[in-house]
Amino acid sequence: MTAEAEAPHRVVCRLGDLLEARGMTLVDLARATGVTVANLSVLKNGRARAIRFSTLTAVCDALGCRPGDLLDVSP
Amino acid sequence: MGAVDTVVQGRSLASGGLVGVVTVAAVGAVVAGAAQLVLAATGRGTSGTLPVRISGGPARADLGIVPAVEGWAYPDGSFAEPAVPRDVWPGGQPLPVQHVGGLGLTWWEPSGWAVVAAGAPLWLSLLVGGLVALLLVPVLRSWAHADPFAAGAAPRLAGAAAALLAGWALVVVLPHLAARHALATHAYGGPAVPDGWLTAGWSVPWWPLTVVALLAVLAWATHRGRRLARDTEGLV
Repeated sequence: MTAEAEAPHRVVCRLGDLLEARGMTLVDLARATGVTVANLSVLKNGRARAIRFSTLTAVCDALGCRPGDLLDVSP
Repeated sequence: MGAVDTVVQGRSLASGGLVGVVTVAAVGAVVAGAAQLVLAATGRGTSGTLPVRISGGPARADLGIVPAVEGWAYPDGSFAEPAVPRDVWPGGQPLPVQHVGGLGLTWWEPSGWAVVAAGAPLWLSLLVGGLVALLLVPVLRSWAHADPFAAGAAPRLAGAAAALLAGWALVVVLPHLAARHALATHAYGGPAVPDGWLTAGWSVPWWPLTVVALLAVLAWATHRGRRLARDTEGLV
């Protein structure tokens, strides 16, 4: 699907930093969470516009972190 | 190159080839339709049949359409009533019509708008068919790429439905107008048919409307789907 205009939000995702700190790849995380690599890539690269609670729960459980460690709002 | 890559490449080539063939055929149909229109409009003349119906006049339909004339017997020796006087119609002269699905007036005209109108079923079918195919090829490609709600798909489907509906309407109306003209101007062989015996008829193919309805429904569904896809785009 073609990307629409960027949604006005200031949420940043620190998935890349968390994966690097744990020495994990997107493939490892996908296997652990059941979320597709494509969707995790969208999340990691800041192209996500919304996240399901089930996805958030699975990612936090796999990375052993809190939602606030994964997502933040830039000033 | 692995086996899967080979299969994927093969399918891409096949679908690309099919798209190419359909596109070439569609362009060819448009060109052929335009050529037919030009030929009809440049005064080469046309003959054929136009839709008419018998609205009056006594006739038997088993020997062509032969009106009953006073004092004239059919080949089997029978007479028919009511019969018209001999000065109205010559005995034994069939009406200038033939059974072609419905009833068709056999006519000829050297030039003019009626020639173009009479040929509408052919040149319009080619033009509209080619145009609809050209409109739908990008839609089919997006479907093949698992992107049914691609940008522009809904307008293309709606445009194809509109073009087909407009073409259908013209294919129905133009020959009727040409038939009215042919009857009014005696553009047929034999004696002039008395007023009221023949009237311009309608030749209405109904199947295109089912295609119009299908395209319209697909356009609406694609439009709705695109809105839903936009709402969920970027949702992980």
